[in-house]
Amino acid sequence: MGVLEAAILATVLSASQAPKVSVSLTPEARSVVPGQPFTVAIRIDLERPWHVYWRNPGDSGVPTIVEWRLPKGWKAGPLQFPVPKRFGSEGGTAYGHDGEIVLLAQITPDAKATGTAKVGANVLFLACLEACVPGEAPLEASVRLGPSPLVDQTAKPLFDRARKALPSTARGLSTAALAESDAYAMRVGGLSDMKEAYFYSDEPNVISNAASQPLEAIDGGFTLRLARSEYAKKPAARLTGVLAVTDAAGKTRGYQLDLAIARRP
Amino acid sequence: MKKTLLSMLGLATLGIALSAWATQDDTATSKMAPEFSVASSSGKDISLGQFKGKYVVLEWWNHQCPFVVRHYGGNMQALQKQMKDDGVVWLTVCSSAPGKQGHVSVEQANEIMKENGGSPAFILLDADGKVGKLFGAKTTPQMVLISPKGEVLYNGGIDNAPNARTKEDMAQAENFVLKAYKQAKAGQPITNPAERPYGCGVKY
Repeated sequence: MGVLEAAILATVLSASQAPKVSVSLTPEARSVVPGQPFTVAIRIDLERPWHVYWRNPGDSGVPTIVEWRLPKGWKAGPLQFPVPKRFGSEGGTAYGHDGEIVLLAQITPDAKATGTAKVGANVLFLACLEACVPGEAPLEASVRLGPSPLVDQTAKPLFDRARKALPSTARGLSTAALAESDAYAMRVGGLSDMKEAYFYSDEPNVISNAASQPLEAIDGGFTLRLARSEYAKKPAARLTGVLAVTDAAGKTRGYQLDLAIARRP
Repeated sequence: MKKTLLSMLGLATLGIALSAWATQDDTATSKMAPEFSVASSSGKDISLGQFKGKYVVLEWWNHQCPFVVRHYGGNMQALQKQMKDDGVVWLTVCSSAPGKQGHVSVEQANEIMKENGGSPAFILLDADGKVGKLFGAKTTPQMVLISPKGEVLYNGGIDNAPNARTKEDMAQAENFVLKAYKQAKAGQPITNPAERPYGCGVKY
């Protein structure tokens, strides 16, 4: 299991201006099966109240990325991010994460892999508070290849927490999106006990990050108005991203949405 | 599907056409730059109006921002020199508030720029963020190009490579300021008058 104090590349900053951060790589299984995907967790433990960035960083920052270093024939799936939060300043609104951040990814071993294999992940992130500091953590973990998977029970709490923080599918929700002159109207039905909602677009240049997203209650749900990005080249064809919904108790849940945008015929 | 949406969202929202798109470029390119007067590291106050008749570049600067550090690996200095040699007035703007990352005194501004080998005409010390907010500067390094008539020709990110990490990545990037400048000089329409700024948030 690779655990490392991340190298903070603070060439121009004193240590007091850099956050404490540790990054680790944990496979869910000790023993994995050739050709069959398994999940790994990348945990960033970041001193509060610093933040790192989501896949769409918003008005500033840079996405947290992982460069995989895998044996030949192995493949890594997309990074799965927790439901993001907003970090606002006069410079705009950024999308990111703070505290314990666990990213998941599926790794598929080569179908002919044998013995023991090393999974490498170089984690690159930018941590910001008032200042911004880049960090890099080259991590490595070993897995054994075997006829059946053997889950690492000690890692279960970590993976449970990580999966709870991921957006869930939009199953059970009725959703639709419509283009307006300078905005998109997102209609969501099927949610009870909803106090606040915010849509995070996966892609930059689709909606304005800093604009408020006015919420209008309608029968059986709500409409969220998303101002289009001033940097959009053309009207978007789809709204893809995470709808974060906060209930009256202040608990936030995320739903991964991918909606075709209807236009005026 | 269409029917469902009609009933869901109501007819009113459908009445609005997408006409705003057609005029977007026109409005973005015909915007006059706001006038300002601000302290500079030369000791003199600098106003935009004094450069009328010349192209002016504004570069938002925070020397401790990792994105700025990356561009000052050689890229920014080369662009400054190229523009300067062509008669363009390059104004580096520091909008970091006192006590925040990138804030510099007159002496620090001159010293750091000299160490970096940069060659702006002036470094504007916009500690109260007035100039930054006038131009809607969100990030460092955000860039603005102003025409000899005082129109904003470009306002946005320096190039199309926000996630570049290596010199090779950066060499492949398309620089939007240079592109807009070349198009303006050639009397061509500016194809990219506004692109998403990227970098560190300006530390107002």
